[in-house]
Amino acid sequence: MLKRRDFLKTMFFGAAVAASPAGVLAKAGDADVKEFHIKLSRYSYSPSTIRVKQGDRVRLILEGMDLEHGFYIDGYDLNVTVRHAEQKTLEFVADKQGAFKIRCSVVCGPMHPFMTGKFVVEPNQPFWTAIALSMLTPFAALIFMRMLDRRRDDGD
Amino acid sequence: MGIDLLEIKLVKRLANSRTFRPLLLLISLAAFVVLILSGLIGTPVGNKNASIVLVWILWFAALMIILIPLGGRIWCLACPIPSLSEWISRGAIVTKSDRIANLGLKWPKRLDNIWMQNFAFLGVAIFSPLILTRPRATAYALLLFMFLALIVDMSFKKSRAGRMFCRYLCPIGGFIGIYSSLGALEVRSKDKAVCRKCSLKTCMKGNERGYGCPWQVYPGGLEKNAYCGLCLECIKSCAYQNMTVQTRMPGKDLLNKPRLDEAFKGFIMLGSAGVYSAAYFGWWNGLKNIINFSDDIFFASAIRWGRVGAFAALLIGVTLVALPAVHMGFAWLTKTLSKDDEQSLRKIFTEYAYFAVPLGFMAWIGFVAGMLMINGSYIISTVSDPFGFGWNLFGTAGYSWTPYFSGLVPYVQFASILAGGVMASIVTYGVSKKHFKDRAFLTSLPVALEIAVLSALMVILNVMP
Ligand code: SF4
Ligand SMILES: [Cu+2]
Repeated sequence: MLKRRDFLKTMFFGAAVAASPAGVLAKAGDADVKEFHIKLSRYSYSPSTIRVKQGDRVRLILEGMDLEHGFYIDGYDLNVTVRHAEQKTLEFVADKQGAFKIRCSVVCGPMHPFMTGKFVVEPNQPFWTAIALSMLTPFAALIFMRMLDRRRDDGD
Repeated sequence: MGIDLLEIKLVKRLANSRTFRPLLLLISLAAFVVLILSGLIGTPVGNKNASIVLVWILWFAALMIILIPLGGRIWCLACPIPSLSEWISRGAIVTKSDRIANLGLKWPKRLDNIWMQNFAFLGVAIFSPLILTRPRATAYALLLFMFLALIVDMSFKKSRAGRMFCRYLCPIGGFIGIYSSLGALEVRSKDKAVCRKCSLKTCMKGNERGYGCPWQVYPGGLEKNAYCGLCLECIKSCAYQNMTVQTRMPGKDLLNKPRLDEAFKGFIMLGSAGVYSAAYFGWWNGLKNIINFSDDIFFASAIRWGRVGAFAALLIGVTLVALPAVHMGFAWLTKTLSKDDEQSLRKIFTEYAYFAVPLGFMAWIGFVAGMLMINGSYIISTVSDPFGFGWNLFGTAGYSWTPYFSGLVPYVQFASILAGGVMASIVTYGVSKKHFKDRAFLTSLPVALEIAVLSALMVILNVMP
């Protein structure tokens, strides 16, 4: 299954982008870790937001509260599934800044595709850049159009 | 300026052929029947059922990302929903018949606008948590649309009988209509002078080659894409072969004859893109609970109406109250800055409101693109097993859920919102130039600020908080 997935990615989009997950599964027991206990139930994570600092070693203890659910982090490409009453630990280094959606990866009912949460690695530079750009762009576009108009007027 | 597509021999033959569209319709109708069947008797698991996956992921993405930008309303050329009513009322599929069966009820003047479509869309949006997740709900909705088309098209007429459902009721048709002004294709008359002198007006009355415009517009005078369904009847019926299909600059006709109902459509679409992003793919568990209308996978029983009501209040509050109210504030500011008493506040409100059309459209494109990247792999597995019966038609049924480039999703969505912001600013500046010639820049600032704030809000709701 994994092979096929990697194969398809490579085929479609080139090996470069299909780079392996940045998160690394590691043995538990290290000293300086940020630990979170997350409950998975239909159709949400609780807590639904996990906030860490870039470079932090993160330990997520996932507990299944009803059916089997998944825990997939966009961008980090980590994926773990947890059954009812099961606990699993996911440990990795948060090396990429930004906010990443957490999604259920096991079909757990009608609303399954919408079982989402978020994983935030601060400082969330991409977010602030996006906000700034989205607010500046309309004005930049206006100024640009006025410049075009002026040039056209001068030309006449 | 644009390319006259009828110069291309094949296109000309297709456009003039009476078999071309019926052929398209037969294909889409066959697909439609399979999808409805799949919804009714297939697996109740949405992501394994073609009625959900092929309609709400594949078709919707194709519509938004490809069909509308390239072809405007081109979907309506091949849409199966009004096909039965059209064929039955004409009593013909391929040949041109002389009579169209219709009860002859006059379409009420008060409803000669897209308000019904606005409410129809909101209705579908309110129940979207069921429609998008329960195959049966999608099947019922599609059947309902087809049934309504049959009833409405055969009972009512305006100047003629025809696509009354499409024109006034279809929840999809409403937004395809306003967004089609952002499309690169149009049906127009080649030479307006010919139309002015023409006394035959066969594009409206029809002749032996084609029907009078089923969409109730005057093709010869077309200046706006919104209400032309590209059915190509006028190409055939024009006595002077003066009608054509051509490419054009997207957005060209957006501000032709601005109307309040269309302005609200813009807000409805923009607002629901925001609400959808937050509710479906957000992280606020309170909202997630609200859209979980029922624990019943068939949805037939135990709908929690309180939650339906809450979601309805949220959607209506955002689209019909909050966004228009905010815009009213900025419109007032614009009017004040313009120092011009000639333009009424209502007019300023309406015309500037068209910024929401490209902004909303691009927000939807971002939403749909994200959906496709994350859940597009369901398409691959579902085509092999459309009913979820365990078939494996093309050997791909076992393909597992695979998000493609999930790390890029926020950037794709951000880029579309940014592009939407630029397009919205162009619209704004255009309106300002039209009315306040030498204060164009100054009078654009308030709405530019509105665009900036809404874009940032979309980023917060959607992209990367
Ligand atoms: S308006 Fe609606 S029903 Fe009519 S053709 Fe377009 S999408 Fe189909
Ligand atoms: Cu789940």
